[in-house]
Amino acid sequence: MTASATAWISTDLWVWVAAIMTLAIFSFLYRDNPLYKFAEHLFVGVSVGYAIAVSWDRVFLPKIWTGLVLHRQWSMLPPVILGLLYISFFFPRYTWIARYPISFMMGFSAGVALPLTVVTDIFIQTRGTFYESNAAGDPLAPIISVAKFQEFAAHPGVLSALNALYGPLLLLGVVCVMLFFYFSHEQKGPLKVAGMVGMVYLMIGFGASFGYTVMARLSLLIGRIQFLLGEWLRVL
Amino acid sequence: MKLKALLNIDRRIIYLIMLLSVIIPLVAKLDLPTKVTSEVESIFNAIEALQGTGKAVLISIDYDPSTAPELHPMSKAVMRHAMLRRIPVLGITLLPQGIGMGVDALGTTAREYGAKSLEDYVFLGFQTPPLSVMLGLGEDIRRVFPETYDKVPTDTIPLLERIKNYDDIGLTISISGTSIPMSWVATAGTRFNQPVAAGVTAVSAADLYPFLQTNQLVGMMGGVKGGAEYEELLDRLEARLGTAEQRFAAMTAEDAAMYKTDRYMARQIMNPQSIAHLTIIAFVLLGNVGYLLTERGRKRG
Repeated sequence: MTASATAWISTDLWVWVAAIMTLAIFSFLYRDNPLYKFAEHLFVGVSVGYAIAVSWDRVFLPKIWTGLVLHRQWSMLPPVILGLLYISFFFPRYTWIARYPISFMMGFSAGVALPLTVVTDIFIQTRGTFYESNAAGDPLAPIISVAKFQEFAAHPGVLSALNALYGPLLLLGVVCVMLFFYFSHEQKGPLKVAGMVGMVYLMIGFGASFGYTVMARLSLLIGRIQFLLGEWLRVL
Repeated sequence: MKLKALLNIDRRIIYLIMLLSVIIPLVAKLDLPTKVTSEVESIFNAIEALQGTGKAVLISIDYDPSTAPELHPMSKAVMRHAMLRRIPVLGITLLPQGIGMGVDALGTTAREYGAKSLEDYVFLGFQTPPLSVMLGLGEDIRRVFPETYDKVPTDTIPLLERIKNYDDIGLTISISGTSIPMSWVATAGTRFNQPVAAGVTAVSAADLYPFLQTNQLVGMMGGVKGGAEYEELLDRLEARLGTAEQRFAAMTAEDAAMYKTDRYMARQIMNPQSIAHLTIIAFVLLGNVGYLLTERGRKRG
């Protein structure tokens, strides 16, 4: 084993830097302080600097320098000109020029993404409210099935009950949540009841999202504690 | 009076208790069982089904160090599985900061399984913009990535002569803390009928369940729990095959110890995670009970 592996604390300079930065960020839990501010600004600076360096190496050099300048690939010229127009942002009198590349990017993104998004997020999802589908996305059977209730009647149990109720609960949830957001009519009578059921579904959804968020934040905390105790202090 | 004090605990004491609920299980090396869910198992099965087909797994490593504790174990587990089964792996990233993650995950996994760069796996590196990359991969990988991360021209790589586009990719897995997996579903999935799976941070997991219900996603690993489940499935497979012990026996003691620890990355996090969740639940219950009792006392005057 190497000497650094057997030491009671890490002898790696970069592990120390990472540990000190981690502690600097954690110091905010006590109160805001200059050490926290320093670490925060350093993180933002390093992230931006790294992104610029990667973009230079992976985009500018191969596509513009090698492609356009050295190999004379003229097809690169229009996007380069459009890209350069963004620089007008720095000159208040000529900011309007930047609208051209922005409108081009918006047109391209909307044109490509809209049909895909409509199919992916609306058509297929709406179909999923009524039909079960196989791995290829083909509809198989209606989501509300008499056979599932017959199965439950033949073999009563928690699993068969959940299986039978899955479809109706899904359909009820989708319809009621949509009615909750229906504002063109006063929410009273059956509409109010449906809206309240929709609100219960929404609350359950928000609860699940919040639980997942807590889980995510804790994972990040544990990751840092693991680093401090393991790689830095060698306690683990 | 005592109850009121309970409701006004200094937040720093709560932080301290949370810290202890994380540190104690880590130091005590608590080992809780991992239950596998169907959404993770279906990704595992999809990769198993690729064995012998010649098709590759495309792993889009779209995260940075800030979400690495959640997502890095997933990447490594999926890569280990593919390399164990000798399934070609293509790694790409749509975020500049993902390069370091990809180099680390593919590099360490390849060393463990003796996989060779450019023969068994290729790290193509970063390319942008994401939408163009996702659509371009449906036509020709080498046009989208003229060279690899190591600056090797992709038209000289034999592996990429076999694997040209989505037709030769059996599964695309997007591992990300952003909304990028949804774009993969829309492009690779909807446009090219490519099976897509996702590994996401727990924050994003709830948003992706609708895509599981419609089979637009083959499966999903949600948060560190998803990674832990995949590690568990892989351990069971390796125990059945008896490959892990052979591999570790051929390594130096230091390497073997490192790789053995690496295989528990997510499960190690799940142990303190479970205890911390119980602590939070206790705090929530305590806070609500305290609030209700105080309100009742106030109404009684």
